[in-house]
Amino acid sequence: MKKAALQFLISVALFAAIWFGLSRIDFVGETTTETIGRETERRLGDLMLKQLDMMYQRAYDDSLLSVVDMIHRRICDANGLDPDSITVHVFETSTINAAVLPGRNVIVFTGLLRFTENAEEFAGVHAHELGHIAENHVMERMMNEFGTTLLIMMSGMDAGSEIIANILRILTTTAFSREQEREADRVAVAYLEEAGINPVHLGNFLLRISTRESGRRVPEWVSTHPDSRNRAAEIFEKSEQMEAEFEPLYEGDWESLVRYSEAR
Amino acid sequence: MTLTVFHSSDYKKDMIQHPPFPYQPPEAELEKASNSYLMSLIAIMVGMPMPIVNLLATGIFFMGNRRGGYFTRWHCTQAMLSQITIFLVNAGAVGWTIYIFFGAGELSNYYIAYLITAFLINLVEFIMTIYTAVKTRKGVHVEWWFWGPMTHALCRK
Repeated sequence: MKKAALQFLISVALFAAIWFGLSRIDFVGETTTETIGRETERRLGDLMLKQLDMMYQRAYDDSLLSVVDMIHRRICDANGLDPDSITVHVFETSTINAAVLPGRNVIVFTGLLRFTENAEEFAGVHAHELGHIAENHVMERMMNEFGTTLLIMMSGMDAGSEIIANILRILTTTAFSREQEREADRVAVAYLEEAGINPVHLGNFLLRISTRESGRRVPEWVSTHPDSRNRAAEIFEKSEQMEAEFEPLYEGDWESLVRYSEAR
Repeated sequence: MTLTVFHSSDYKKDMIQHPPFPYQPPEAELEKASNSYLMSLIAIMVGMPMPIVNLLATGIFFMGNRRGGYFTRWHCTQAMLSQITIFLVNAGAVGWTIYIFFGAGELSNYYIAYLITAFLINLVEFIMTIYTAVKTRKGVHVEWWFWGPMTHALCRK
């Protein structure tokens, strides 16, 4: 029996070795999000942005856009990210939402900016979206939902097609997995701390938005970012352990900035 | 993985060994022992390559010969144990394929690698089965790697 057990173990080890060895060969080509190809991802992103351009106007208030850019650069610079490799697109709409699109694009709706109470809250949301980019959540999700072949096919379609509009709708109105959301939160808190921005404001935003979950007008960011109350609690807990002193991010009047942009 | 035939003097090292059997089996036992291996092959040949079919064919033959001579029982047991192992490997492949087919999983290098590994194991087992069926029919006792010692542990004289 001892001999049988030993031979069994050797057989299992041999089986595992052959299996693992063969799995190192890329049989199915572009199967992983890392290898699907930046070009395909960029094309998909461009298509969705064109689709958005057909639906909304771009925000044109220079002072608002420069503050958004300043926040974006501050977080990126502090965390070793190339700010120019990620594009922030601000669209003029009352929809309270922000999302990540393929091709390292972040879209922000002015409705969300107006919903934030200060620049730090927006920085928190933006850091969270950058967390999704850092962890490659968008392509992981699209790979899971559509598969490689379909994604490559879709990248050759035109903006305005029903399929592209549907993908865009899915990305902007449905949620990542809870684990991915928590992962993006963890990254966001780390990014904010490095950038000298108090993460407690992201917690405040999540908490405030969670109180609207049962309200009459539910912000779209809630449907894409569930479990806000618990996540806010986790961020508060992490923030309490921080010893850093945080300076205000924007010296001007944030509310006027976001409201004024609406009036112009 | 090579399939090399060795003589009884160096049988201790190999995937297939030919140790001496305690007695010289009569003609009837040789045929039944050989048939125990052929059962799984027949199941494939009649166009039923589902993993359970080979196991069932061998299992039914095993049950029919459980009161036969030691040589017959020994080889029926070895054939069935090998089929159980092959069944588990193939069931994994079929299950994984169904999982992907219904959209629960995705095509991956691990999946393809598993299919190839399973195919290689099936191929080796297939060749070993034919070889052993021929040998046992000629009265040569053949013991396989792992399944031989397992059979010794399970099959009483």
